[in-house]
Amino acid sequence: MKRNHYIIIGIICFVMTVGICVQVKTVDSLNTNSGVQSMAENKLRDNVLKAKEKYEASYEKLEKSMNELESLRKTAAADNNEATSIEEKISEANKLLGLTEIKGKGVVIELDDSKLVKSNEDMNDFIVHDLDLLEVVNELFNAGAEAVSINGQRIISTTAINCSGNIVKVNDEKLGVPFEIKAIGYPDKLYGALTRPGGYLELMEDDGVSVSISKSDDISLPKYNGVYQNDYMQVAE
Amino acid sequence: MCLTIGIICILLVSVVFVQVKTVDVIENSGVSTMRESELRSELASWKAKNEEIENTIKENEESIEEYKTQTQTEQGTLGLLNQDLQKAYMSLGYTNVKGQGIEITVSDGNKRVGYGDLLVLVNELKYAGAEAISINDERIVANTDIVDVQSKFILVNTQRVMSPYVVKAIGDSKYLESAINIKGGIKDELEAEGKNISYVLSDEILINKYNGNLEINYGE
Repeated sequence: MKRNHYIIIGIICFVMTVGICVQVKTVDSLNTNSGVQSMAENKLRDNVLKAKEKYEASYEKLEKSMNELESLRKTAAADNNEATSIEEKISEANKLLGLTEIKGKGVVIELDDSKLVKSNEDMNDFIVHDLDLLEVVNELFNAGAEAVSINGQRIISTTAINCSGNIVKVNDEKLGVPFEIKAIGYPDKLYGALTRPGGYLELMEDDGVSVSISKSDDISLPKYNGVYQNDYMQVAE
Repeated sequence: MCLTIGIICILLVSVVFVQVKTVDVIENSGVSTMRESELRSELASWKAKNEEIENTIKENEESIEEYKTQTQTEQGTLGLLNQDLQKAYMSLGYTNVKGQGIEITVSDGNKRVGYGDLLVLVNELKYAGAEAISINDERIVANTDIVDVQSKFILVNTQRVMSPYVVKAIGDSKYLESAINIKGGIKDELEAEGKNISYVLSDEILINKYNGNLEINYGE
């Protein structure tokens, strides 16, 4: 009887020791792995930050060169009617290209993920998706919006609105909720079109997304903070 | 004797618990692999942006030099101004343009092609770096809208367009192709819904200019 006890205790001890050895090994391998990964990650994070800072520095340089060009154009065109009219067209074109800040009348729309998600419902219905932003921007242009921005990103002719994972990207910049969409245009018309029954905002609200829209006489939109890329196209007659 | 064995057992059990906990904690932070690939794509996109902006700064500096040296004569001044205007108009969509790219044909099949299909298609092309896009010769510009009218036809820039829709885009044709062709992408999606889509790549895509006029009346 006593001998049996010892054998059982012996077996238990053996199993536990083996268990501990396996565990120690696992922890070891996980540790080295994640150690290497977090080091690589930190380096990547560092490089991303550096690239971002570089972009900001470059952007200041770009602004400076654009301002200098503009004043050179103005000076060169100063005492020549034909030149002045071309210079004015260039300024107007830059405004239409979104290369200047713009202030005026319009509407401001705010979209936010619903705070009322119940655990048994599909999360997807309650959050704002890239497609939602695409539809709202499209409706704004349909209602005659002249310029639109989302969270500080100006919408230009080549702006893509997409997502990576759960994060929405506009002009390749990551944006998070709440989304503030500003549109310049005739306020009553924009407001009326966007709040019409069956409109996209109503659909979103029915889905549980938090939606608000208001008219304003004093909206300011940022300029496009990138550059137009014309590497593949050229003027054709 | 029994006491010793008891103590050993307690020790072993607690060591096992500690170890299991440690493993748990480590695995929770194990999303690191995903974060890393995300960081990589982030870095690549910033690098590309930096390259773009540096090229533009260089162009501007060359332009500044030209203005400083070539504006002594009226002819020189007008030449430079017209060149800048042309460049701005090209970006606005006010000129016909040509270059390498893709020509996609989307048409009604068992199901009708809706405005949303074209909206998403155009957005995908923009994401793939398209510099100019048109649908049935309607140029996509900054304030282009694409809408359905009573589920019968589609308006682009308030102009009526009908199936088949020929969507042309100028840009890196390989990028543009993969944006359409990617597994589970828009081509697969439209086909699964019973709509037709095909494309050809070309070195000489021609896209017509915008026929309307862009205006800003409510902002300064």
